[in-house]
Amino acid sequence: MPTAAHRYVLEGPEGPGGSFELWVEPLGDGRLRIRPGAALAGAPVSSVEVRPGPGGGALVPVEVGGRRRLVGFARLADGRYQIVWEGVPRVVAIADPGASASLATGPAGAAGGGSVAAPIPGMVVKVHVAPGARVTAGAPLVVLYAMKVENDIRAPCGGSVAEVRAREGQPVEKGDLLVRIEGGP
Amino acid sequence: MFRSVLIANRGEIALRVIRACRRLGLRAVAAYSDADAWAPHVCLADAAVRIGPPAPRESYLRIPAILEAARATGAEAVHPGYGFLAENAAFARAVREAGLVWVGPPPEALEAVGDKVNARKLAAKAGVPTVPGVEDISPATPPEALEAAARALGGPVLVKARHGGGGKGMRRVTDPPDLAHAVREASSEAASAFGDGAVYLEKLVDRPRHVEVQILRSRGGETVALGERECSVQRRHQKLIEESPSPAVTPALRKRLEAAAVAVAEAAGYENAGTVEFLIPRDGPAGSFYFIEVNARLQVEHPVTEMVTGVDIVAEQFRIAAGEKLSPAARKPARRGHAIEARITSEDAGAGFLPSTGRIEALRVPGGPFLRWDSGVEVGSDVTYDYDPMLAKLIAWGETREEARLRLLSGLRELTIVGVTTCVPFHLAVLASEEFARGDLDIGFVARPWVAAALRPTRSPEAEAVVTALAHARRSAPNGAAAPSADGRSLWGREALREGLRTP
Repeated sequence: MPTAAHRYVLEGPEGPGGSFELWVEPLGDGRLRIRPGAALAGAPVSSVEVRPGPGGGALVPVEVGGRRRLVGFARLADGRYQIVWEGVPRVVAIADPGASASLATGPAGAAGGGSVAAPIPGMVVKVHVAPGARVTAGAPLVVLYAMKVENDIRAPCGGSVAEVRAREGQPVEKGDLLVRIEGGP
Repeated sequence: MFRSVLIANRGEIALRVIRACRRLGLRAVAAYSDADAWAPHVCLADAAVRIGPPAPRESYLRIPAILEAARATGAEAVHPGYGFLAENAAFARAVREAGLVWVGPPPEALEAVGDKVNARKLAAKAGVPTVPGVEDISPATPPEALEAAARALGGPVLVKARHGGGGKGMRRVTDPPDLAHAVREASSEAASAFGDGAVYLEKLVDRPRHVEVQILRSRGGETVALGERECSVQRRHQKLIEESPSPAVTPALRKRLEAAAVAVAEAAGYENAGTVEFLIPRDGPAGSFYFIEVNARLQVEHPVTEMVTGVDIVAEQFRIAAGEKLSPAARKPARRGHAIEARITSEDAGAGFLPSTGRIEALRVPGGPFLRWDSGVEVGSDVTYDYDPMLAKLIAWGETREEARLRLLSGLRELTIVGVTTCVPFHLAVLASEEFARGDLDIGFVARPWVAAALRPTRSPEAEAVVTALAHARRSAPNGAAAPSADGRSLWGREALREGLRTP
């Protein structure tokens, strides 16, 4: 039974233009792996394990990357979430969590699911995978040259590569489909 | 001493006054608007009276409603806190005429120092230096005369409201020909804000430090000065961080500032607690200072003085109002260590201090030695646009300034307020800065370019991961139920197991 991952789209402090994806993969025991999906340059590139502690209030203990912290957390009247992390309050819009797809079971749609899109405009300099290849979550798929650096675009989830649109040497726009992954046994 | 006090205020200062009542064995009566029906000050008081709708004009500023509340509850004295009616001579008079004790300066003293031109004259007569200025101007003064006055002062000037405060009715003018226009504007702004359009001119002191002296004066004329506070970290005339003592004041300068403050208080026939404000010019001769004005009330930042002197200033206010002598502690105030206060406002420092409203969902107050938390909100409090955005004050004491600074920083990192955005990131950035640590302050501090850069919203991958994880966990455990515990069962599941409602 493959693990289902859930996709969330977060709005960065720059507003809707700065949206990026995070994937939440339950690991059992209440632990969740948070992995960046199609992300802005400078977005977190490594995944982190988060375990919410007991309690359902607005002040909750959380273990993140092995450290435990008491954090403030609430859904505000406007539907956005507030997090108070080490004294600093942040308000984050998490777009339509209800639309998150279960990758392992559902087909990957063009707008979500296992679609890996270019997070920023750039040039594809390397394609690591071919259709039919098996990938694990976090595996490098494509290298995108943008903003003077090579950015590793990694698999948001495990599965098999259903489609590869990225071509080496080809420029892409933000949001262009690069690779589509489907879950499987 | 009277036995019961009506507190004509709200928020943290109402709670502060209630606590002083408790210490002296006085009955505390709260007054509240509809917006504050369940506010902490209402819940802490011995009795509480509704005084009107949320708008201050219809409640906290409505003199007949407040006097009626005092009458109905048998209160014998009225404490006005700060803001609202605290420096309103007509209110002080009405309180006395109703046969109640006014906990504040007599109406005549309020009038004497409330007129800033008069206060300047009193100070000058008492031999206290004032900022060079021109007092006999008005919108009717011919432009040539205004221009000549500005040139005589030299350099940029400030147009100030004679009966104003909080930066209203104030204009900065660099070019003398612009003065006539600025005078008209300042005057009409002052007229609408304070009901009096009188203005005067002061030479602009370039990026000075704001230093003020706390005084107490009994009816018998005994005056003590409780040292100074530096309040240079301010934004649009609203102070954000205050400390005592000032890192810029030497013992010799302190003596002279205190003597000047006492002289002004005596010249004004002052009574009760008050603050005499000074500017210390950046490039002036060593030890120079100018009187600017008197704040005839208890001030927001009074706790830093309490922390270093050991004097309960509100309790002294009650003593003085009852005609008693100052307490032994006030007559021989300690001078120990350093205290710094951070005002916690519901403002988004990263968005130009945009006010933030909402319900306080959670509140974790820092602990540890020598930290003081004076708050007007608790979990469940609604923060609305009706009132000032100041929620609370966090004050830290230390043997040295550095110790106080680090203790306050540590407290701010622990402080967690959920439901509104607060200015805590501003305090974290400033208190951690090398410039603040050095005591390199002036009233232009907040405008220094690095401050804005430090407040620009930034991403935090950790915070983003945590907020997403929690949003996910709550969504998968509906009804806001407990997140799964370490053994993978919900709290309900474990509870059910224990109660024998279900099998493992």
